Amino acid sequence: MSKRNIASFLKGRVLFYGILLVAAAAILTYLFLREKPVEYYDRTEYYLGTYVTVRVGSKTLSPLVLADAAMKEIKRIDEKFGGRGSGTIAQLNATGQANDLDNETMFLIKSALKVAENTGGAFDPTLFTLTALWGFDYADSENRVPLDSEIVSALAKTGYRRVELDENNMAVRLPEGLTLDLGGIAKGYAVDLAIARIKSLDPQATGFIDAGGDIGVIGPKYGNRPWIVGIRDPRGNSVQDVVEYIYLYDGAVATSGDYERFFVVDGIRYHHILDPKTGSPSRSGAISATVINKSAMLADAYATAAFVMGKDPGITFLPRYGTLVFLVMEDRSTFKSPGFEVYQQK
Amino acid sequence: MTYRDSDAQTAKRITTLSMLVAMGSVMYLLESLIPFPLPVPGGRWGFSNLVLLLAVNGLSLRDTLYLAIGKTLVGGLLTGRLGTPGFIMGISGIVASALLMWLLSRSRLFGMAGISLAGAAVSNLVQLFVAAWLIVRSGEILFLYPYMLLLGSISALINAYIAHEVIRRIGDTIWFD
Amino acid sequence: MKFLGKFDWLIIVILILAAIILFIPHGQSAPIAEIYHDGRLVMTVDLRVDSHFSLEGMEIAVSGGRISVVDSDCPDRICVNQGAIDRPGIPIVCVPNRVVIKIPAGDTQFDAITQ
Repeated sequence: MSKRNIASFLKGRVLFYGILLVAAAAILTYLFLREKPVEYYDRTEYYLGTYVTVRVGSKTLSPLVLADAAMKEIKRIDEKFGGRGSGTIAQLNATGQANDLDNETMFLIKSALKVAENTGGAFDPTLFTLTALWGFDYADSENRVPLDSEIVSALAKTGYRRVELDENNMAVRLPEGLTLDLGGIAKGYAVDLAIARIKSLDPQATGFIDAGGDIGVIGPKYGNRPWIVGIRDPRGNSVQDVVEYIYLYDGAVATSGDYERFFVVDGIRYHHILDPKTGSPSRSGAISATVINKSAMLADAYATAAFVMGKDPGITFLPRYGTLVFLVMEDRSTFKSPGFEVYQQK
Repeated sequence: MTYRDSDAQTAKRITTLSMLVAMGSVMYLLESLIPFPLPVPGGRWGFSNLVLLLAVNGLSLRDTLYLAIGKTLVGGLLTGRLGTPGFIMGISGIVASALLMWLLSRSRLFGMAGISLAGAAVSNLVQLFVAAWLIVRSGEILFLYPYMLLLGSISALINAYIAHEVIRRIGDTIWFD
Repeated sequence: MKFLGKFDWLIIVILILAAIILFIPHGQSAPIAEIYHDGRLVMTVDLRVDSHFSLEGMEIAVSGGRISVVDSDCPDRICVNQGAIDRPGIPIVCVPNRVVIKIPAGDTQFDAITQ
């Protein structure tokens, strides 16, 4: 090397390789900046009796457009199924009869009845009379422990098996006194629909939708990382206390817990998840049930059912319907469906 | 039978390259046994870059790059990391750093310490850029750079000292220029 | 080849400067809360310093590393009743005032809570 003339070297190869190096650095920097990680946009609005948060990111579309479209869907579902005082379902409940229902309403009713059937009635969309009796129907209703006789007569006005479905005529008939309540699955359905809406605009969009703890994944974080979802500690001091983490790349998760709405009389905690068999708050031993399912609607419904079932042998059938369960029991022990642990790893 | 001058040259070149690749690969294997304290996939101290430091003094750029890629490939095979994200980061870093060290060496303005430090700094930077761009897809990992710079500088100075001593003792005779 | 060349100090100075510059902003990853109005980030608040301020008809207070809305002119006052937050997960949301107060999630935290 010492033989070489430095001047000619600088003119010749060093210059060439120097330019090459700078060019390579420039290309690398450009590629890095071009592949900027997706920035997530959050929007929170109040629908379906809870705060709905849409977090969405897209490489091709403005996330504002996607969040807008999602919120519009959720608002539409809120207007159609949210209020109990108006709409098709209210009419059906008032008259006991509805004809020429649209596909969407039929689908929701059918899905609710299907889950009821799959869970042996642990989830029941006809409990509204009972819910009202306990004062869990509206936020401002007065909670009280009803008399046994009141519970018995209200129980007579429930039973998902008595809903008559006529699919050919798109008609539903309810026997005298029976009330259909789709509130239990409308929230999850809105999440599913909003995700489908976002996916129709940008199939590559990622993010999640959180409707009061019912969480549906649009796509993995930055396209390749899971969303980390904490399962609320049912006896935690704050809503931010977590008992377990799950890692979701897709699908949905929902939790039912006895901490959501409850009142205490004489030291006994009366919560809002009623057992369709007894007509009283479920005493299965579970204080929180978390369910992972492909669909937020089904996750929501199965979470209620799992809470009512507790460690009942029936719960072992749920994985058959694509449903994985995580229960927290009164003694703080936990129960997991086989396969749930897959979601506890990154 | 007579040997032409160029045959001897070629033989010497191949021998030197093979020897350096073998040394580098073994050092790559050994240094992967030393724990690296930062949460970087495939993070290593970089002691095997000692052979590169020796090489840039006498080898052509082509041979330097052969050596850089060769030792990483063989080392990757030995450690079973061939094709992993950490390996891809490592090989990009090594190539960039070999290129830079060769240039700095040929400019004849810098000493061993400077060349070694600059090489380590560029190697780490390219590694993190590749990680941020291809692997974790997030710029957050670039926050690790100053820590890597610190650790990399320690091993870079050790390398520079060893390379300096080696060349001082054996002179330029191992090179075939 | 010398151990230290003529211009090695240049490389050393550049590296030390780079390390110092890169270390400084990283040292500031303090616990903060972000306040959004109409979806736009309007304010970041340092949670280590107790403070008290008004924004969009809301009285917001930081104390002991927690941020809360202490008073608000909105009708339902859900934001006030929610109390203080100190971790990511559930933001304080005031729909009438279109204000969201949240603590940005770090690497180890969760993105959402199922409840």
